[in-house]
Amino acid sequence: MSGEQGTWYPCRSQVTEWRNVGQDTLVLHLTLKQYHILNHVAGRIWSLCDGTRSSRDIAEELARNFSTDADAVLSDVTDTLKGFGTMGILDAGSSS
Amino acid sequence: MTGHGYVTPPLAWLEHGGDTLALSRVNRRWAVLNPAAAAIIQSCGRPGATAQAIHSRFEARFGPVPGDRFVAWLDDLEATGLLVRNGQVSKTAQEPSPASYSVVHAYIEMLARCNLRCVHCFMGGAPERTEILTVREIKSIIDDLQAAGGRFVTLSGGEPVLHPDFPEIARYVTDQGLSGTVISNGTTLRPALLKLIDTLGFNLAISLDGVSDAVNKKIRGTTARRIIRVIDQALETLGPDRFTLSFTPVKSNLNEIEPLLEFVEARGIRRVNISVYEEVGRASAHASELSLSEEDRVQLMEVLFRRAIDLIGKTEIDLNDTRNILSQFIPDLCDDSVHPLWRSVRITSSGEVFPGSFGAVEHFRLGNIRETPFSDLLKSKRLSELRAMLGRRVERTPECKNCEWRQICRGGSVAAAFCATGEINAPDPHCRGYRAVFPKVAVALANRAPGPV
Repeated sequence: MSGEQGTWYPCRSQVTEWRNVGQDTLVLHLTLKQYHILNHVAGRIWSLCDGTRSSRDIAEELARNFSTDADAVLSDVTDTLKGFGTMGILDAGSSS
Repeated sequence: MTGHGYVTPPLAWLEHGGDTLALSRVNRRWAVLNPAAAAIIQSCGRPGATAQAIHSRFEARFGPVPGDRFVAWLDDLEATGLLVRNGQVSKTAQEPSPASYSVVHAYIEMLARCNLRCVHCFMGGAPERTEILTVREIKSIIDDLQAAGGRFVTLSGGEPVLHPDFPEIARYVTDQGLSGTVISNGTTLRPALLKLIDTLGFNLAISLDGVSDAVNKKIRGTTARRIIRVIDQALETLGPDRFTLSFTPVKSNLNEIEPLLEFVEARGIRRVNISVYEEVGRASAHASELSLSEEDRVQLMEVLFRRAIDLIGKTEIDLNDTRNILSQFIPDLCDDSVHPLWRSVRITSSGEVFPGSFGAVEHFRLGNIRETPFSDLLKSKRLSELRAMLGRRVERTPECKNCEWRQICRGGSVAAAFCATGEINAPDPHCRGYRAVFPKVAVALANRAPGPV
């Protein structure tokens, strides 16, 4: 979870389901029976959490989407991913 | 079939993968509902829906179902968090109706004199202070409160037991059928006084700044050992259910919280009250050594909520205006009486009267019992106006209005927000701490809840 920036490969938990609701993303935790609403940026980050991309890769992808610099968004991406971890919606073993 | 009433929290409905999802807007719980379950939930949305009425409506639509089976379904739905029995749903966004509003609690500062001179004291109690309420004045306050339907009296100070007529006044509280609490620094509580407090059925709160002598000496001018000795006597005399340990976290005692809560657990203390430091009274003169940084506040909330979960079933931790900081996460513990500002007034040793938790903020002063009868002050229009403002506060505070946790924290402490910003419609200074810990608390409590339905 707390790996250095750029070395973390976050992956959506297998006990979640998700779908878009308008611009937001609804994430259902299937065992906790809790849900979370992500705004469109967090939802985009969530969609990229497939276990193959590092947090740095996600930041670069997001930066391309929003025409900005990856370094400028990396800390926000990391914070968002930590938030996902706190919600329990990432696989525990998704750091490297 | 019981006559229990059932209600549902505000829900959102969503079709997902061929299923109907109901999502609680209050506690972030969701469930897949079949048409029958959805019909039950929807019929519970009506005020005053009893199990019998819901059952009748259900049978009219779906055909006969034995009563015990239907009750089992209701129990299953209750376990999802989407259905709450007996109106136990969080009333966080609700405002008490004007007709039901009355002050129920008087916090009386009997005198300003105190044998200690704690640096964080919000009212500046000290040995040289001479302001004092007379027996007659205090009895009159108690009479008026009782006549207005009040139920609770807190005797505070300064150090209340230094009031020359403390025993007579305490007896009077009990004789009038009111529930009494004494807030003391502990150092002057002799066994005979503890016996009196016990005999009168009073609750007792003693303040401590951690278990370290050095820290207590620095803040209170006395040792922890001295106070702990009295706490032990109090626990022995009153038992654990009528005792509260009070703690005001400041910069210099922040590291004492963990050891203090270990002490609480070891002693079997059932209630801890955390009074968040506000920069008022003497405390404002020591702000640099007392004020918590943003990081300190986050750390404070992390510790308080983590330990509150550890201590479930043993000790409850109250924070500022909230009785049991976990209450808003747990439907069974939600109630609408947690905001003392709606139900409490503070009377200073000079006779000044303020709404409950607002300290001596001139802006909210209601009057002085030496100029206006207390009974009239209890009916002050200002109290009603303030209550109405509070009812709208979360909606009018931009940071709160769209926050997903507003149903949990209710905007936090209005007094802390006001002291920090001078505004009612402002977020609690501990907002960042709340938002840092609430997701973890929600997950931790969900893990403790009965299995998914």
